[in-house]
Amino acid sequence: MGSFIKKDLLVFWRDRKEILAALLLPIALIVILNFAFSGIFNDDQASINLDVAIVQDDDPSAGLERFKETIQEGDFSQAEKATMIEQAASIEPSRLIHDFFNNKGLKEWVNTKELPEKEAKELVDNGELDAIIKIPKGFTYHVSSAIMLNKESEVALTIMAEDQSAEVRALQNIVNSFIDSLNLQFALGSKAESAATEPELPQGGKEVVEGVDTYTISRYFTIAISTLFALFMAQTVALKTVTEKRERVFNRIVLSDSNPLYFLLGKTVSTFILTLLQMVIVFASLQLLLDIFPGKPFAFWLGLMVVMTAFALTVAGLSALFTAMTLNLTNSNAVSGLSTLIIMTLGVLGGSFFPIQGFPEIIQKMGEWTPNGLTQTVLIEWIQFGNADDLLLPIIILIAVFVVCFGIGMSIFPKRGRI
Amino acid sequence: MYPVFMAQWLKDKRKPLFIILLIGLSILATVIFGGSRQNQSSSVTVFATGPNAEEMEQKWTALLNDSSDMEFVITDEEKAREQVREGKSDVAIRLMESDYRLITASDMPNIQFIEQQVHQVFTKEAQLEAAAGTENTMELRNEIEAYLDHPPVKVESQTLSGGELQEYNMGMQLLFGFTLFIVMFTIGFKVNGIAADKVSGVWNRLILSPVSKTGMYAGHLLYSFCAGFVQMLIVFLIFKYVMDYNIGSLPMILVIAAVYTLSTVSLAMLFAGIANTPEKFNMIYPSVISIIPVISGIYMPPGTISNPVLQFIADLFPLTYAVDAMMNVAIFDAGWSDITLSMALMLLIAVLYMGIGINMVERRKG
Repeated sequence: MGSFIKKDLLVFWRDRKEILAALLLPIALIVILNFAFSGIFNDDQASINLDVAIVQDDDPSAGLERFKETIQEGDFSQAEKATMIEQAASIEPSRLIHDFFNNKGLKEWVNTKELPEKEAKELVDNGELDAIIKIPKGFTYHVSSAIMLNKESEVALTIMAEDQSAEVRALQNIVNSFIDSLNLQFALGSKAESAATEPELPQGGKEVVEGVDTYTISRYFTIAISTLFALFMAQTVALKTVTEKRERVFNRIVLSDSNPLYFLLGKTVSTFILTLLQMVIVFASLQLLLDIFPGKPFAFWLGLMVVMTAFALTVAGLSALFTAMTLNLTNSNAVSGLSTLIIMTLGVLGGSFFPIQGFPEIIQKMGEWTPNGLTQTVLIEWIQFGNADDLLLPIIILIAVFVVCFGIGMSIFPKRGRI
Repeated sequence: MYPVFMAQWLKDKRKPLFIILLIGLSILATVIFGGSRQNQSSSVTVFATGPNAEEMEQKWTALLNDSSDMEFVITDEEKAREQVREGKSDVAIRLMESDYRLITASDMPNIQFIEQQVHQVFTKEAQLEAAAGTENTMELRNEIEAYLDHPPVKVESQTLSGGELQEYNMGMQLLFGFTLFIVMFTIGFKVNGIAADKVSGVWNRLILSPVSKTGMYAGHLLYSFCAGFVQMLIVFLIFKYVMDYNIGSLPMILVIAAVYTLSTVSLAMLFAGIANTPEKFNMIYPSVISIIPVISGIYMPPGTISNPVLQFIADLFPLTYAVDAMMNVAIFDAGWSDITLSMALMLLIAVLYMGIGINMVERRKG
């Protein structure tokens, strides 16, 4: 049997394109995706960078003057007029907006500069700026009269952007929540008669589930993509059978003095070895390149290794199944189509392409039962809790899947006289 | 060309099971995955503890659900914590009298967004209660709500030219993305017929026949084109007439689909050129193809992937252009002139890859 394993390993080794696809592709992909995402979703969030122009079309002092005139013409007592004017002068709505953007916390990730509208639009068009915030003409006047005189405000602060994007949405969120709280203040100011007690503001905050390490997006990518490529390995090794069938290698093996089942065993064992090697190399190089699991104890790596071994076994089982299928079906395209279909289904359901949390619960439930989905769930728990008891059941399931797949492969393996 | 085309068709007609299965399952997968994200809002589990837990849960979920398009669902504590623990959901929220805690074990990007929303609701509530003092908050709340219907400071969003800034429809992008992605497999397996003919010797016999070389390629490629296009046609018809999605002008979508199919046929031809045998094609093609949507950012909102290397790689494949063009048609009611650039780039890809691919296939001996 040793020679069969050697044969399959050699066949793999001699095709450098495949080695490239099996090793370099997942590593490169994870590294690239990691960089792409860490650019946006960093731990400290400071990495979103918004470049915003503030276009000041409003003239606050003229607006205030106009408001004063309206008040003077209005039907109020002298004292009322004085307080209203004083209040309006103290509000200065456009200054509130400027102050908000000059706030130190916000300045870290929103860069603002004041520009005339035309220039700002050009810059947004060129893609140098993300958006424009326009303080429209008459803003001071309208806001003041809305607050004091309960008039419907006719102008609105305008966010202008080329089209909707993550940056624009972030800006909209910031501005909307600021304006909402501002409006609420005005509302409270107008309604609450007495100066009430100081509000008990919520503290909020996160309660990270005790004693756990967080599951980051780079860890998600590492696990999802390495399990996906491990699944491809089953197909890669199994589909070599097509060539071996066409070139009559299989027939010669049948005529030789060895048990044909060794052929299947050779495929299975070599897939197991290759998959395990692939996963170990991928994890090791990512750990070295990106330091995905910093400061983890030896026990963690041991557990990871155990799970990977069990998963590699399952992949080997799949490979046995695909090999037996190839020997049974005459159409090689059908085999590869079918195996691709199986792998893609497993990949999508198991969340190897994208997190499946957003999908209906039934799909999530199915995903937990795919080998790659199960491996991912187990590894999430292992990363977070490092509880060895949690590993046992999934590993048994993975081994059981291997046994079942291998059993089916054995039973549909061509019997004597059928080749 | 015609006899070669017919030969491919007859092969499938005599053994229709495989192609029907492939196309059928592709359509099924597209409809399930593409469609399942339509009109789906994400939900967050919440729970409260203590003697008047139920009351708190009712109060806060009502307020929270009012304020955003996320759905806040009451769950019991154990289940919520377990789901977070096992990574089935990213976050749960523990509600308290006037405060909250996010319970999370991960560092996923959407958590910050949820926190912001929740924080706003709680802050507003705290201020309301403080203002009301000992009085009933209900009355004050109604007054404030009425006031806020006509707020003094308003915000609006618009495009540079003053048009409406459309909310991006992520579900629609997934729908198109998935349809276009899955059809790549069907096309790939059909194009692989050329390599299969070569190793089985059929190709050599065809060379000796009166059929021209161009005709041989054209027959195969046209058949692959038809298989891919028919699949997409069925999917789009289902979306439009059975599931009633608003996918925009159907003729335009179909023209984009046709151009995309053409460039995908070329792409598959390039892969056939790189791989020597049909088996190698079957190994390399699916593993490369399946990561294209990830790189192109089809699964994520636009702008998520801003890395220049990734963008460059994505630009090498027709998927981005096609999804872009289709989104423009479906959401922004784009006209022909708006999608010309995408179409031109897809055609360029088609010409380039086809040229390189056929060249590589031809250069190989035997």
